[in-house]
Amino acid sequence: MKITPIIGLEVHVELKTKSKMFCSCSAEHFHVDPNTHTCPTCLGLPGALPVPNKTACEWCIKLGLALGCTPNESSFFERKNYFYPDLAKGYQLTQYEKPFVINGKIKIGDQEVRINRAHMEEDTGKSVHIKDNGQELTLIDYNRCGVPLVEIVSEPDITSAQMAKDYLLKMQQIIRYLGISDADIEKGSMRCEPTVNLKIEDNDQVFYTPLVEIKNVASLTGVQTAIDFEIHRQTEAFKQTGEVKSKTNKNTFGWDADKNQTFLQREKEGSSDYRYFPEPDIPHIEFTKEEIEEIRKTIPELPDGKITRYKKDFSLNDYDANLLTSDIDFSKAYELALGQNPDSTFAKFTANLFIGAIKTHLNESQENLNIDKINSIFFKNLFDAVSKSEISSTVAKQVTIESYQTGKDPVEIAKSKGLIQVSDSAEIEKLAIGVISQNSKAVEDYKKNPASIGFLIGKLMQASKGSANPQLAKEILEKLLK
Amino acid sequence: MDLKNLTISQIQELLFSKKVSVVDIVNFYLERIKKLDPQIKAFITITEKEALIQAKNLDDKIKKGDKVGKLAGAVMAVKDIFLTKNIQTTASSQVLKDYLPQYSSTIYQRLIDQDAIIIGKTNTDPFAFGGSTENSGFFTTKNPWNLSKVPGGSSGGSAAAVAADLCQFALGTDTGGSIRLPASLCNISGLKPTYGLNSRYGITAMASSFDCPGVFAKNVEDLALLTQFTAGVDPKDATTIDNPVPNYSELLDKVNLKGLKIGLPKEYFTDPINTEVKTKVLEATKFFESKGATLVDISLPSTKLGIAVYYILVPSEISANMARYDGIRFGRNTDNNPDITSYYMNTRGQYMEAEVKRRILIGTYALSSGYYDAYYTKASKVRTLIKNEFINALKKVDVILAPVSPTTAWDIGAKVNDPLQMYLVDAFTVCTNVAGVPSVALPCGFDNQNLPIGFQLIGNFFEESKILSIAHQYQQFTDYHLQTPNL
Amino acid sequence: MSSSKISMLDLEHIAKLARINLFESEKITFLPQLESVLEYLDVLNQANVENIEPTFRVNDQKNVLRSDEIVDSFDQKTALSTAPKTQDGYFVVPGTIKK
Repeated sequence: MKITPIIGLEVHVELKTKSKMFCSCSAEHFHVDPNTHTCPTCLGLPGALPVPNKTACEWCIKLGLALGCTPNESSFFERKNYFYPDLAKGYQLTQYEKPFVINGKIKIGDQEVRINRAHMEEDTGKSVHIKDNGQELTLIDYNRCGVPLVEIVSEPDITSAQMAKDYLLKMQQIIRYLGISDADIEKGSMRCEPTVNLKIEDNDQVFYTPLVEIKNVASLTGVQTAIDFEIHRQTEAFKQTGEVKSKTNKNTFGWDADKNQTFLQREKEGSSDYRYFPEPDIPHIEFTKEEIEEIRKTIPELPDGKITRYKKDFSLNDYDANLLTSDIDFSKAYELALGQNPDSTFAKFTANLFIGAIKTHLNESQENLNIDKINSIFFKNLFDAVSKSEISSTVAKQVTIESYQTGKDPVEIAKSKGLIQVSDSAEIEKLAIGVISQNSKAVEDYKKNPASIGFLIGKLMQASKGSANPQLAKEILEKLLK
Repeated sequence: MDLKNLTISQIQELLFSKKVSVVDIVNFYLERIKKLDPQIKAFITITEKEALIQAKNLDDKIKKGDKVGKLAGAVMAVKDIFLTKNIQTTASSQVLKDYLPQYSSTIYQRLIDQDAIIIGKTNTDPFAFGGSTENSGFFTTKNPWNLSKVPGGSSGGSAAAVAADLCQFALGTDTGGSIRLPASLCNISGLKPTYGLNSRYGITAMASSFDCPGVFAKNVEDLALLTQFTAGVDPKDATTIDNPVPNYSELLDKVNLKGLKIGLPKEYFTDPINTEVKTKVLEATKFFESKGATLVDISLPSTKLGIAVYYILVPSEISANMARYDGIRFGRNTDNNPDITSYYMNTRGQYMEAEVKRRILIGTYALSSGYYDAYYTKASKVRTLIKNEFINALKKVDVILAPVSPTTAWDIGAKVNDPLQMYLVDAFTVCTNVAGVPSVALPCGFDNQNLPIGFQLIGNFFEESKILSIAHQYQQFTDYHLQTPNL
Repeated sequence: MSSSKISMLDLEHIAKLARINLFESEKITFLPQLESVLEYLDVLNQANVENIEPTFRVNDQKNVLRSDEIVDSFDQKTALSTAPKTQDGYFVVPGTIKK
């Protein structure tokens, strides 16, 4: 029996526009007093009407273009009708027939996941569930109601939980590159609903298990664990019942992160009949080809393009190129440090400092990168000093961090701390003579076993307070002990 | 001083020549309301306190010689589906009893900004769902011409208030005839503007792609003056059109009746039209002919489909527009519900009037899976046919003339048990809403029971100035609009 | 479209979809009323709408969008002023999840 998971993902991303999607209330809702960012429109008061946010529409298209999608010539909003207290109007404005963009793709390693569509819609309010005198109550805050959301729907091209996770990470990275959302899964500004079923091949027969949509997954590991759980559950269920997919047996499962398992959610009665129809309150939206091209121009070089360029132009390896481009600000800082037309030795040297020094420092200190602290000349100076063996690579990392913190030239820092390597033979020879005379036992050892010269080099480095060029020190010791 | 039956310009003349104060004017109407409204029942809320404060402030401004708005001295009644900040707005439904809105509708506010004074909120069918005010969650308004008859609807309270001279003008809305029908049954003038001319912001939505707020007045001259201030783009209503607003008052004499081509659509002069109505409307056409206009027989063949299109698309939009009335953020609620579903069902079931429920149910049915294409899509396509027929007809003629209501005012109670019969009273008005074109209704005579008869002039998109001008010239030579009921 | 347009079950189903509790007396009056309205709507079968585009809005407007700017919202007290039930700055409804 061969089992292939078939996984599609619906990803919701909250855009970080200043104002909401259809009204001018602030879109900020995290740690804000409840119901302080509301107005007639987002409270769904009688007579209130929606007017769409231009920036949000442009950002949805921008994301679509970044995912290789084609914009629809004409788009419109529709009403999706259902009752839930966090949905003030009793319908959600979304795009069903004519989303802003369709038919894109995203590369995951050497595989491709097709994007069906990206469309614009609005978020709902937040519910807080409490118990008051033994009574279950739900408290509603409409600050989030009407915040712009983009929904990106993939085709079911994902074949494993790991690939789903990679897809989400890639999506998150692209969204952050575009600067249109924090795309923070834990904070809820990026949400994901996987739809999972299995293709089971058994003795020339092919079966498809019933579709399951998983809701309430609130973390990246949650997505992975939930999909794996569901793959396992469906495999077992198929073995027991043999039930296969039909038009009517799609189910919605919730994810219980505490118990690490999915559970069947009782379908809200009639909730599947959303009675979509075109929103009469908002005229059609048609961006011209020129406007689309203007939006396209605002898309920065994306991670895939950057990685290819880093590998080609700077001869970086895959690992380094990926690390440097993981975050757009980090890669910007790296490129700033490189200055104009860097050669590949300098690029590789700087990459090592960014990965080995700056990134380590930022991780340890939990600071955010401050690009203003990156000075291309400093990196050039440091590179020259290391090339001339004046500064060791260990020292280079050390002074890079200090330079980043203080804004001083790293070479000057090395000098002031006496960390410049001594490459003056006479000076080193003087120290070597001293080391040999004080360590007769080690000299004896060396004569029996030349590999033990390390001990003497160590003593010499100690005597030079680490500033001697170790290669030169070795050569001089060997010459003297001949 | 007798202020009876004065138009806005007449009353402003008295005001600016210091013969009366604004307080005098307001008191005149308040007294009439106190005397007559207990029988007519046009008002749900009488805003005596607000009106007197506004009047006093305005008198002070006039005394000081400060600049006042263009509608100073004009007293208005407002259909109770227009939100008025801190003034009870019920939409004539038990759902919104005691509701005090946090904001005001755009066009109400525009009139207030011109120093118009609000005297009260008028009765309507709940959320404007109806053609007689009989569906109101509170009471039925009586026709001032005969208290046993309906005033028409849904804006029946507004029409009755103007007809009974309880105010100078009134705000209404016309989704399928709700301004023109009551104007016609109450012998006053009413304008249903082009869709998108007047903002819908702050008016409880019935059918968003049909709703047209507009004004009732004692003559067309006042309609022109008022539309000057209600019209124009509203950044809060994305369907309002950003065109410059013409000076309607100055354009009232502009259209030359001589040589004007008036289209008479045969579908509007046939069944279900009543003979007396037909005779009087044809008399009006004779007037225009006598002034040199040419009458042209035209056909709008899809007219017979208008009601069906209307009663699919309108309830569909209603079913969504009414979803917000859930008793959570505003409106009345019910207690002791074990869960959220019963909270919704009981709250909505308890307070929505029968007609509100019926329309939501029809719309929910038409939109639900399996029926969408047969109803909603089909009706939206026929909507295109109806719209194109108007556009094509208006290429051949300058304006279309037609009756407003097939009959004069009917007895209260006569149609309440048969929703379909009630829907058919809009047979001659709905198509203009389906298409979006403007239409002005005005009086043209009485039947043998002395009940008013009206006709309408339908123009092309945004041709308000043309139809108002033609209507105004009719009123320069006729006195039907000057007739008032004996009260 | 067939002759029997709507059954009592259909009526109850759409009432539930629309979240409207119908009194028994209403169900009895509404059913024939809706039936006759729906029958009347069959008049649309006469229309030939082949190759006709639907009209959803009567004006040919496009692209009515607003710029992304914040305008003052209601303060909390105003937002809650019309609500039947509030608590600690929130609107209140019966529990929406069963624990």
